[in-house]
This record gives sequence, C-alpha cells and structure tokens, in this order.
Amino acid sequence: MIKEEKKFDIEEMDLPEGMTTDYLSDLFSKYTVNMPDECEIERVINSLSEYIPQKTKWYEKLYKNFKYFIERWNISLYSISHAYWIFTLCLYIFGFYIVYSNGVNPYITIMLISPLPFVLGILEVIKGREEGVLELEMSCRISNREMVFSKLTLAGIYNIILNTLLSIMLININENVDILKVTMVCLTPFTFVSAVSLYICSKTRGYYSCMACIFIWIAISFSISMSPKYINRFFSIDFFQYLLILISGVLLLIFNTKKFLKTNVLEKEVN
Amino acid sequence: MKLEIRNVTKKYGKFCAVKNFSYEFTEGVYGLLGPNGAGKTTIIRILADVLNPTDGSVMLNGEDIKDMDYRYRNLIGYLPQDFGVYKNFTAHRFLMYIAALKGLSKTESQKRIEELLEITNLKEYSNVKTGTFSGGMKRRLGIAQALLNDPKILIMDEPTAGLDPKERVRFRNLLSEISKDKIVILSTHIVSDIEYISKEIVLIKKGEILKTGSSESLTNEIKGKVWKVLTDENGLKTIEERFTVGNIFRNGNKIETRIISENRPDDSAEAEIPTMEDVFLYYFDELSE
Ligand SMILES: Nc1ncnc2c1ncn2[C@@H]1O[C@H](COP(=O)(O)OP(=O)(O)OP(=O)(O)O)[C@@H](O)[C@H]1O
Ligand SMILES: [Mg+2]
Repeated sequence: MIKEEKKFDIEEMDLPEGMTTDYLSDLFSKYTVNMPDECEIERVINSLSEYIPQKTKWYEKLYKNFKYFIERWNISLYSISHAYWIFTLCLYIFGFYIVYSNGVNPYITIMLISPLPFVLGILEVIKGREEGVLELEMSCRISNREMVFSKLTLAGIYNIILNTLLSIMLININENVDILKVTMVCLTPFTFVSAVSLYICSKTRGYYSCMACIFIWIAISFSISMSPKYINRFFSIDFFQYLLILISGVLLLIFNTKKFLKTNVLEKEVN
Repeated sequence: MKLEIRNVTKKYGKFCAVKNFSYEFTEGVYGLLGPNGAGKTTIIRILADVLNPTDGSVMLNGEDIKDMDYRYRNLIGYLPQDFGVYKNFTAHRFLMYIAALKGLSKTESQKRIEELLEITNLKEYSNVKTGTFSGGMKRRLGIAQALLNDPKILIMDEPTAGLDPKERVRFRNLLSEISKDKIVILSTHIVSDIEYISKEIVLIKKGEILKTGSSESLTNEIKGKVWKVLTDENGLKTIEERFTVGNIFRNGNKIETRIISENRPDDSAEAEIPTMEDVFLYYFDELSE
C-alpha cells in the first residue's frame, strides 16, 4: 500500500489573522546563515590544527611498545619462580645430551620438549589464582590482564629461543638432521599443544588440567615415537601444505591466547 | 576527596549479597561492622575494583572508578580477606613484586619496604620464605603491601584477623597516625578494632545498611537498654531464654550477667553504660529481630 503523501504548502495553510506569508518569510530571513568566506574558513582551520595530535613516527611507537614490554617482563620475572627457568633449561640440556650420547632420534626429542616451556609457563600464570594472590594482583595499578599477557609472551619467546638453540645444536652435531624438518617438528607441536592447553586452561582454570595437558602430550609423543611411520608421513608432505598447517597453528594460538586473557581476567569474579 | 557508593547491588545467581547500597566516604577511618555473611567482603571487593557490581557504581570525586581504571587503582591499597602469598618468595621479594605491580620504581620501593617491614615488625623475617610464616605474620605482610604506594584510599578486609593483642594495638595506632589525609575503610566483626579510631561505623545486615554513626552516637542510642543482673545457675537459664545476653561473669555461686533489653529485666537490675559490643549484640542478635 502506498502512503498518501502529505504536501506542505504555506499558501494553503490556515494562518492566524495578521500572519501573512510575507510576514513569515520576513521572520525566517533572520535565521538565514550566510556562507563564510574563504579567508574565514582558512583561519578556523589553522587555529584548530594545533589541537590535532601529531602523528607519532613509527620508530617512536616501536620504542614505546618496546619499553612497555621490557617493563612488564621485568615484573613478570619476579613472579615466575626460579624453578621454572632451571627446570626448562635442564630439560633442553637433557634433550641435547640424550641425542648426543645415546643416539636418540633428534626429531622425536625436539618434538616432545618443544611445547613444554610454554605450557609450564601457563602453569606459572595460573599459580596466582591457585595461591590466592590473584585478588591482590587485580587491585594493583598494572592490570592483571596486562601481566598475564606479558608472562605468556615471555614464556613464548623463551620457548622459541630454546627451540632455536636446540635445533642449531642438533644440526651441528649430526649432518643428517635436516633444518626444515627440525623446524617443522618443533614449531607444529609448539603452536598446537600451546593453543590446546590455553583452551583447556581457560575453560577449567585449573592447575591440574594444565598438568594433565603436559602428561597427555608426553603420552602422545611416546606413542608417536613407537611408530615412526607417522613421523615419516608428516615429513613427506610438501612445503605449502606444511605452511598451511603452521599458519593454522599460529592462528589457533593467537585466538586461544585472546580467549585465555578474557576468561581469566576480564571476568572479574573471585570465586 | 569523596568516595561514593551509588545504589550498588551484587547478585550471585539469584542470591542478592548486597542490596541497593549507598554510602559516602570522606577522609577518616570507617568501620564496616556486621555478622558473618552480611556482605562486607562483597562491598569491600567492589570498592577495591576487583569485583563488578551487578548494578550501581562507585564514584571518586564524581568520576566512575570504572572509567578511571588504573588511575583509581593507583590510589588504593587493598588487603583482601583471603590474602595469599607466593610461598617460595621471601617477604622482601614479595613486597618488591607488589611494589612493581603498583608501578613503583626500584629505588623507591627499596626504601619504602625497609620502612614498612620496620612498621609491621617483620624486619628480621625480611629474607625468610613466606611459606613458613604464621597467620599473624602473613597478615602483617598483607598490611605492609597495602601501604606500599602510600595509598590515598586504604581498603582492608578484616585486617586484624589473627593478630595478637600487642600487634592489634600497634595496628590501631598506625591507622590513626596515617589516616589524617586518607580514606580508610575497614571491615571487621571485632568491635574493639574500630570502636575508638573510626569516625563512622556502618552496621551491615544481609547486604543492607542497618545503621550508621560514630561509636558515641551508636552507644548513646541504646542507653538504658543494657543491664547488669546478678543471678545463679538456675536464674541464668531463664535469662538466656528471655534476653540477649552479653558477658557472663562467674564469681563463686554468683553469676553476673550483662543483658540487652528494652525494658528493665528485673527489679534488681542495674543500668550499665553501653559499649560498641552491646550495640553489636543489640542489632545483630536473632532475639531482637
Ligand atoms: N562467589 C560467591 N558466590 C556465591 N555466593 C557468594 C559468593 N561470595 C559471597 N557469597 C555470599 O554472599 C554473602 C555475603 O558474603 P560476604 O563474603 O560479603 O560476607 P562477609 O560479611 O564478608 O562475611 P564474613 O564476616 O564471614 O567475612 C554470603 O551469604 C555469601 O554466601
Ligand atoms: Mg568477609
């Protein structure tokens, strides 16, 4: 149905006495706004321009971010226990040792330990909740969310450094070790296992579920090591397929990190 | 400085822990007094910005603390009721960590921590792991950390729980010393903690304000409702059935009882000067409902 259009015509309106159309147009002309001249526009723009924030240079931004993270990481170092650093370092030294002296398969070894520092790092992050310090941390200036993020990134970077060092050392002691294969076999579990652990910990928020993740991963690695055909099939995929796997792993990790930050911290509920 | 709770309601599922709570704090010591489960911790947590109210808001000088965000948290010192520590930290390391979270510089914190360990009588335990601390020592460590950033607003949930009488007195004196330019909010069910130092006492029952006032005005209000009655074992039973009974003092066969009652309970009863403890019994005893 088409609505009947209502026309507005001043001529047809019932105007009160003494209010002619001339009178009205006179009255309205008072409210006419004249277009300001160029000069005036220019002047206004110039005077306002000083209030527009200056675009910061990219390197200044980078430096600011860098400083921010260094500060946060510095604080994170306080709350992450010494045992964490020592244990993970020993794990890698042990890994190198068994490959070097006992001839254990280097791929299996690096696959097994490559996600462990990060997952153990998650354990360090949820420690606060377990030990009842969280409520206090939440009331401090630097928000808990920032701290959790900084601890996770610290553990992640530390993990990547350890993986890189171990890979380099393994390549150096054994000429048969392939650089691409080593990268594949340490980055894939690192991204996927970390992502899955973050997911489970954001759901359950428990110390023990994080421990469970570690044990399940160890069990999986051992069962893979028993049947080398899986690993051989994994090595036979081509580079682009592998790239796809890696990208999805990274995306999954980013997605679950966001989820972890939200469920753990933004929901400001103390149980 | 004006800290204002505006119509705050907090629900846990269907259960309403705090109902439409409004109050205004200015410089001075405030005591939130109420029985277990009254909602003190819930209000304290909302004030400390660690719990979001279901409804209503908290304003500092007219600005919502949710908008102030870290600027608000920068001003507060908070001692939670269930205060935990990292057990493998030494007292000093723990304080350094909290100081860093509060945005203090290293040199600043070093100095401040020395002072606070002195004040809370923990100096000799500075390098001892907190896992070995007694309940009272942990509490004192909690008091120390709350004061690290010299907070303008100090929020403490049962700060004296587990402190021995000597430490309790120390703490009370410390508070009255530092509270001149601060808003200090304490929750407790230990009346003597706040009786003499608080500017205003807020009596909370089932998530609502029952009554507010200075301890003087609160005790004045129940003048003529506190009695001393001398009785024996048999008489005590009937008295306990009929009245709210405070202290019972046994002296041989004679029993001296303190009774809260609107009317003179007995011809032999003598009127007593009410204390804050009587106020607590008067307002929070089941019989008076
Ligand atoms: N996380 C929660 N989930 C469900 N109910 C809760 C939760 N926290 C508190 N409550 C309920 O809210 C009410 C008020 O609790 P609150 O801890 O604020 O009391 P309180 O006055 O501090 O008591 P106390 O003197 O024992 O510390 C209680 O009935 C409690 O059961
Ligand atoms: Mg409480």
